[in-house]
Amino acid sequence: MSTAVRSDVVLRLSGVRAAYGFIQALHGVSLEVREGTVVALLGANGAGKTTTLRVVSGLLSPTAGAVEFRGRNTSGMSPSRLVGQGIVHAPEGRQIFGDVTVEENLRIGAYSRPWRADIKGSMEQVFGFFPVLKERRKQQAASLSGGEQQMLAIGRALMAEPRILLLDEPSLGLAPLIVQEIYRIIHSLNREKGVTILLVEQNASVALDVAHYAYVLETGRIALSGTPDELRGREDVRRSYLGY
Amino acid sequence: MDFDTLAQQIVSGVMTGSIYGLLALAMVMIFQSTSMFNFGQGEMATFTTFLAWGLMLHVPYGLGFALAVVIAFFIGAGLERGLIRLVEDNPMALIIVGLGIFLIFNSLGGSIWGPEPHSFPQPFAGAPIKFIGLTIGKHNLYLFVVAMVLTSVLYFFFRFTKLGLAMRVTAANRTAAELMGIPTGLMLMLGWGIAAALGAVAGMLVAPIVVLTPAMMFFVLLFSFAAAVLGGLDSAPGAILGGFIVAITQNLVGVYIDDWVNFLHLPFDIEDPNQYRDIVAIGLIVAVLAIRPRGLLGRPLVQRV
Repeated sequence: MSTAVRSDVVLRLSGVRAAYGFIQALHGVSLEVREGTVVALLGANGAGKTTTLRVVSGLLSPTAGAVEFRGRNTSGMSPSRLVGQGIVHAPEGRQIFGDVTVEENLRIGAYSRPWRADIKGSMEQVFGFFPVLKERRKQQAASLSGGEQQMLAIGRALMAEPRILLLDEPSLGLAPLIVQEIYRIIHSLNREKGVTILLVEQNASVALDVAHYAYVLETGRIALSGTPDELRGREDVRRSYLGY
Repeated sequence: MDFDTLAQQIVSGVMTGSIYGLLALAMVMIFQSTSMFNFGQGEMATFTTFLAWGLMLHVPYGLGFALAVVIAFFIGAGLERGLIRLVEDNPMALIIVGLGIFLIFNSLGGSIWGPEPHSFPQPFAGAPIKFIGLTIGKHNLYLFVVAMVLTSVLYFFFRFTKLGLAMRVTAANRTAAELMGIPTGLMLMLGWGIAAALGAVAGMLVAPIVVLTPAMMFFVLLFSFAAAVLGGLDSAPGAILGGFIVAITQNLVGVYIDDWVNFLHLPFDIEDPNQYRDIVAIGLIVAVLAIRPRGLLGRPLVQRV
């Protein structure tokens, strides 16, 4: 790999280990995300996908290894600092603020940005990607449907102007048509707006459709990695994760 | 039953109720953000009221009042930082800490200022105001106005400012708030500070009425707690509404229980109506909660996930 390409890497994890109490969840995860790409992190339940994202966004400190964001070691920094630097995490289960309005959810998403930032402009951009949020802007977020809540979770993360967007299981609990809709938007976020995305997903086939590169996690380790075509070409991947 | 007496009792209930409301609001804020009942809220208020009393021997009322509010804010914020943060993940420990705060401030106040009552200054003394058949004490009017202004300021703060919104979402979902870049520890500290400051205001407003003693907030806290539960522990407007209802009920029972007992031909006499007002008031609240456990304005206990 040449140095020119290497400088493109926004996020690099090397040998990251992490644990919940005495339970080791990650046993040395190494991966790279390049500027402007979508990287998918696939794997079964409990493989360590969410844990990896939690380490990247600072919710969990790694016990060993390094997380490097744009050339700086960020391990151990607090989430609120990392958001300011551009690592924005849309967590599993959406975690929207149910008892405030859609618009307030979006405004709070921009909390880390400077006082005079163009919040209105960002909100219009988000509404461009998710027109339904504009219709529902005055509603309590809890009254949204599951798909709309997922859109709000992504829109809220976009309000922080991420340099890298961490999406945890955006298809969770949604009907297939809604999943398609969400992934169409994720695709255009990347291809049109140029947002770099690290995507965790159990639904491997939708994730591979949008990703440039993918890693497969198994019990806290990267089991294999490759381009979507390479992975689809492997019989073991097809059988374990794609179901054909 | 004449209309003037009824109106009088309701109006004076609204005024007392605004104090219950302030303290109930403080408890709701703590319950929302930290999931605990701060039983010490009243004792903290008493403590800062004593401090204000000491200050007011040397400085004018307004300055003493303001200083006490600021001191209370730092006591509240300091408690969160130094004590609550150590045990915040342990619900059992939080209960004990709540009781501990009660005991610490109760005995601290007692040992510094002793049990004897002191009169607390009131800025508006003098003859009560007569207004369309109602008699309103100047101090009662004053405390009502202060309570309502304060409540409105807080409403606008939480509803329309970035910081207020950040505090609300921190209380609702701390991890998600953290992921928005909100320094959630600081938000909780601010919340504790504001709650303590509210308590201090309530204490200083109520002290001229109940006279200043280390135990003065005990019943105020009890009824404020009832108000918070009645209104719904997750509802700030509920806390204020609950305060009014509790106080009005107390007043009406105090005045009319004799009539009611006679009317119903119950086989006993009421010697001192005031002994019954609190029992009936709390009884009513229990009845309301039996029908509506979430309180009047609280959110349903079942949530969509």
